[in-house]
Order: sequence, then structure tokens, then C-alpha cells
Amino acid sequence: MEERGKLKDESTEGAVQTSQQTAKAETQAAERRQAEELLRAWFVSSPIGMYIVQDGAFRIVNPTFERLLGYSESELVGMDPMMLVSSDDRSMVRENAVKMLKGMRTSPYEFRYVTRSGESKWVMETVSSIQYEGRQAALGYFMDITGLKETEWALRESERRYRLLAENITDVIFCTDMDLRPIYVSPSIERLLGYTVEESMSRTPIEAMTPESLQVAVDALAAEVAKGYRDRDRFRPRVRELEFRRKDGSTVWAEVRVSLIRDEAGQATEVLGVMSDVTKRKKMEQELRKSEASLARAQRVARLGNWDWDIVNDELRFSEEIYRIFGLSTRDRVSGHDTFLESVHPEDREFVRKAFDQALYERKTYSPDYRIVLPDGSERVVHEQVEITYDENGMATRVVGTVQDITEIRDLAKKVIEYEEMNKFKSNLLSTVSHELRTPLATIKGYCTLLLDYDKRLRGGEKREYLESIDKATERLAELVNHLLDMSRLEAGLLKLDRAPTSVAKLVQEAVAEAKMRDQGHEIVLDLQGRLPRLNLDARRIRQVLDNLLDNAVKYSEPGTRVMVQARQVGLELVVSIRDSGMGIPRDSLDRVFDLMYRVEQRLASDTRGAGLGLAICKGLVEAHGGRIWVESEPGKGSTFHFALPLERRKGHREHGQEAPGKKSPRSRG
Amino acid sequence: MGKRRLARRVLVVEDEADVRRFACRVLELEGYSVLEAVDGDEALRLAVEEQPSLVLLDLRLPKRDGWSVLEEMRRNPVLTSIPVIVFSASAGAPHRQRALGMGAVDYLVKPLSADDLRKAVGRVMHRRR
Repeated sequence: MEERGKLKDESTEGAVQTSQQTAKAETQAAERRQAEELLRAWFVSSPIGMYIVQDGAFRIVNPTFERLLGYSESELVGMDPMMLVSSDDRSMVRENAVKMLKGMRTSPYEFRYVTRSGESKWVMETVSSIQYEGRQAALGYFMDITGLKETEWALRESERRYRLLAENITDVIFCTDMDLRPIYVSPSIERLLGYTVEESMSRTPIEAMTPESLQVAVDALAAEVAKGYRDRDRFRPRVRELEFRRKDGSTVWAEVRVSLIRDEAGQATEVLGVMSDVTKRKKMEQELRKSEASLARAQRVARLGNWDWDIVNDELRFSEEIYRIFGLSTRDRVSGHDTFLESVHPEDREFVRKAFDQALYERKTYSPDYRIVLPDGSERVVHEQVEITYDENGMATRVVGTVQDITEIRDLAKKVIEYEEMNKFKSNLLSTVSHELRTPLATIKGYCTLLLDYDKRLRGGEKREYLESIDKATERLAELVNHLLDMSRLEAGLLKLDRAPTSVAKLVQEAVAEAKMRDQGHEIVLDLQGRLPRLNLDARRIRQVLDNLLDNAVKYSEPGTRVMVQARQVGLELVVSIRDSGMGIPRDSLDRVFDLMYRVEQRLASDTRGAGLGLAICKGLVEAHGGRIWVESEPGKGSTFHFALPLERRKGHREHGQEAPGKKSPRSRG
Repeated sequence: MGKRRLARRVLVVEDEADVRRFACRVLELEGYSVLEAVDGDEALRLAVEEQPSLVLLDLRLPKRDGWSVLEEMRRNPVLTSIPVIVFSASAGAPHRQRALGMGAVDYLVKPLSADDLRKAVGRVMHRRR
């Protein structure tokens, strides 16, 4: 620089100008050098691939470029850049290059390079026009976006898949914001609710729900939102059945499952859900419930329950009615057949168990009636039937049974039987009484007409006999009529007792004396013990009882045997006992002896006096006095009939004129 | 009284002594000879043995009842030609019809009068003459 000062001194201005120019030139050169160095530094170290292309060939590339594409700079210099561009993208790249050369703005564009190993790499590149070594060149820099591209691709692919799924399944998939405004609704919404996707997007689900379902939905959503971020089951979708109104007004039931999408802070941002049409299922459930209720009701009405025993799995199930029949609450556990046996009446248990085992193992029919005892102690009668399923080896696998409470039916049946027996009894009684009446009448009529028609031809002796027979028959008739009347009165409670203070001792003595006169064949012994009090009684009636009992004693024992009559005071009663040594009364008939029409099977001769009313009347008469009558007997050995009369006056039932026990009526005597 | 009339025997089947006695006496007085039975078995035995001209049968008998005796009398070839008059306490038409349907020639209702008996027996015997 100092040398320049020696030249012609044409002008100091020229020299000054030259120094100024020189200084400027020097500054510019320095700046240029600086820029170049900066550029160079950046070029080398940049993570972005960079290159300069001039005259259609690479001039320089940076190390990143080398690394990304697998070529060294020396290999690339002089190469046509298009060679590295994937053939599919070349036309696009060329277009951009042309634009850029023309000076138009280009934005970054994406394309693929092919690396040395043949891999495609996606890049985002920008090219700009520069001056390089005095001439136009293109500076390009690009970013490897292969990873990004792959992610983008995967994402798009995934989205495509989900969309395909969403659009093709019948369930509706939806997504809404937290105010339930729709973000996405899958096309099947149209099938479910009749609204198109478009229509659905502009209305919230709220508008389509029935009020009850809306409440359910709101509550469920609130609960879901309230779930903590760390809530263990926060990922479990909440399921509800909701009722929606379709566009055409009809309703459908949908099972809705929602989950909330949360941000990193745990705040719920979106509602994601799936809806399935469960109308049919719901309807079936309703039908099932109705039919179950119907069945339960029917079982309740019929008092019929059923049980099901899966032997293989040892599971025993009962219908509600079974519990009711056995008086158990459904909470009571009935573990097996044995537990159930506990409810069976102890006396019937063995029978039931045996019958069941026989049914199970011997395939006998099983339909027993048995008693059960309820927890409150009451007894019921049930009828049970089973159906047993067997496997191919003949082993029982399942038992299905029905149990019906037939207590009332049984009672009714019993009543019907009783009623029928009563009817039969009554008609028997009627026929017996009718016969008893007609027999003496036949005697009377016969002999009377005989006497009248054949008077002259009959012998004196026989005429007398006939008249005596007529007399006796008349007596018999009278007796029978009186018995019938007595019985009627007793039954109707109309029997009037003519009470008066009476010496029982005397009464008994008189009865015995007369019995002795009537029948000489027996030894009749009287045993009066101690002082017997006087009682207020109807002497005629008590005498009737005595006569009847004495009569029976004589009638039903062999001549020559003894009849013992005893009267004594026992406590507050006066007891009279008449013992015979006759045929006795069978044990099972003992309690029927005082019933109407009871008659010992074997009759002596054809004496059918009394039509079996005698003992029944005795009972009636004794009880009308407030007393009681009973019999002891040993078949073959004899019988003893006792009756006891109370010492103090006690009102008897069936005595007429008494309003209530304890009250004295003005009409009663004594 | 011709010998033929005396030969006519009547079997009286009745368990009630007085009724039996009365019937037998009336029949005797009417000139019939009488056989007595107190129950159905005895009646059938006698009927077979003695071949009476008529049987008077009470429908109500102990052990084997009158209806079955009637049936047997009609069924048994040995007895079937012997006429039977039944008597019963029942005046009902069904009983009467049943008895006549079973082959009885007459049906009398108790209590019997001497006249009823005589007339009924007379009718049967008259026919047989």
C-alpha cells in the first residue's frame, strides 16, 4: 500500500480517492471474507443438510448431507442433483427449481432422496438463488423428516383404520366436549336414531334422551368427572342403559359406554363413547321379567313352587314360592336336599327320604304327600313330584321338582269326605230307624189283621199270645219313638231336665231291683259305698241311663255271669259303675261307643232294639246334668261303664233353659 | 179241601219272628203247608230240597240279602220255575220295578195285613191250577 503512493502525482485527489476506494475495498473484502467464513463454519457444522448446485451439478455439500445420503463430497461433486432425487418426486423438484431460478418465491417442499444404500429418505428442502464464485448458483438446505414422515404416515393409516371401523360397525361411536356438544359422531347414528351425521352434529345427545335417561346420564357423567386422576378404575368405561327418542318419535334403548379423555393435568376434556342398540335385548328382558313375575304369581296362587338340583355341580336352586311354602325367607340358606329334609315332619322324614332315594336309584315314581313343619311350628301338607334326568351311564344328573301346598285342599277333601260320610251316616240312620219302626208295626198289623180275619178259627191260647206280642211291639214302638225324640231334643239343645233333690242310692236300688225282675239269668250285685248324697237331678232321666246300661250289661254277657253295680263318691263327683263279664268292646271302638248308631258287631239273637241310640242318649242325658260318661273294656273279659254326676249343681250343655254357664234363668227349677 | 190243595207248600223266608209267625199262621189257616227259613242260605237249601209251590221272600235278611236270593232263584234251573212273592218295607216304585224285573211275581209292602197276604198268595196259586 505504501507503494501506491509513488505513482504519478496527477492528482492528490486521485490518490486520496484511491486510498478511499482502497479502504472501502479493503472493508468490503474483509466483510466478504468474514461472511464467507461464517457461512463456511455454518455450512460445515449445520445439522441441516446443505449444498450448492451450479451449472446443474453439485459444487459443494456439507458433512450432514454426506451423512444423510451416504455419499462423500468427492463423489457428489459434479453429479447431477436429480440423480439423487427419487424418480417419483423429480418433476416436482424440477418445477420448484425453475421457479426459484426465475426469482419466484418457493416455500419448503417435501420429497424423497435416494441414499447410497437405496433407502428413500424424506426431506423438507428450501432452495435459494445465490452468487457463487461470481455466478448464479442454487443454495439448498433440507431437513431429514423421514421419522416425522413415517409417524405422519402411521397416524394417517391409523386414522383411516379407525374411521373405517367407526363408519362400518353398527354401534355408534361418538366424541363430545364436556358440554356434550358433538365433536364426532359415526354414521351408524342414522341407523340408531334416524338422524343423519349432520343433523346429529348440530344437536347435543341431551335433546334425544328421555327425561329419566337424561338424569341417569348426567349423574353418571358427573361421577365419571369426579373420578380422581389417580383413581384406580379411571380407565374403565362407565356403562348405562339410556332411552333415546328417534327422529320418527319411537324410542330405542342404547347401552352407552363412556370414557373421559383427560389432559396432562388430569382435567377431563372430551367424552368418548360407544352406543349399542339394546332395544331388542331390553324388550326381551322386560318380557322375561314379566313372564317371571307371571310365573311367580301363578306359583303363588297355586301354592306351587319348584326346585332344581344340579347333582353334578351340587347346586340347588329354588323358586320364591318354595321359600314361602316352607316358611323360609329367601335369605335362609338351604344347602342341599338334607337341609330341606329337616323341614319334613319327623314322622314322615324316613318315608320321604326312602321314597326319594328309590326314585333316584331305582327309578320308582316319586309323588308323595307328606307333612312339613314351618319355623313357627305350624304343620302343612305338601305334594311333591320330580323329574329326574340321567346320563348315558344311568347316573342321575339333575332333578327338577315341584312342591305344592295342599293343606287346604286336603282339609277340603277331608271335609268333603266327612260330609259324604255324614250323608251316608244319616241315610243309614234313616234306613235303620225306618226299619226299627216298621218291624213292630208289621207285628202289630199282622197280628191284628190275623185276629180280625180269623177270630173264630183261632185257638184261645194263641189269640192271647198274639195280643201280648202286639202289646210288646207297641211298647217297643213307643220306646223307639221316645228315643228318637230324646235324641232330637238333645241335639237341638231342647232337652228339659226335671230336676229335684234325689237319693241316688234309692234310684240305683230301684233300677237294680227291676233289672233283676226282668232278667233272672244273671247275678246282679249292688255295691253302695258309704253315704251317698242327694243330688239335684232328673230322676226319670238318670233312671233311663241306669236302665239302659243294665240292659246292655245283661244283653251282652252270658247268662249266669255277674253284673256288678257300684255307686260311690269320688271327690266332687258321684260315680256309678256297671260292670259285666261279657264279650267286651274292641279297643279301637272304645271311643266310638257313645256315637249314634254304634252297635257291637255281633248281636245276640235278632234283638235290634234301640237302633243303636241307647248309649248316645245316655251320654246326652249325663252330660246334660253336667256329668261325664266313659267305658273301660277288655275284649273277652267284659266292660265297665261309668258315669259321674257332679255333687254341686253344674250347668250341663244341651240342657234347655240355660242362657250361659253360671247364670240362673228364671225358668229353671231347683 | 182236596188233596191237591193240601199238597201246596209255601216257603216263608223272614228273619223277624213275629212277622214270620203271622205269615205262617195265615197260610196255615188258608190250607197251605208251610216251610220256614230265617236267612237266605237256609231258604235256598230248602227251596232246592222241598221244591215248594211258592216262596214268600223278605228282601231284608241278615247275611245273604233277599235280592241275591231272588237272583239265585231265577238263575238256578232247579228253582227257576218256582214263583216268588217279595215283600219289603220300601214302597218306592224303583224297588218294585227292580223286583218284578228280576222275576218276582208280586211285590208286597210291609206292614202286611192278613188280607194282603191271602190275596197275593191266592193269585199265584190260582194261576198255577
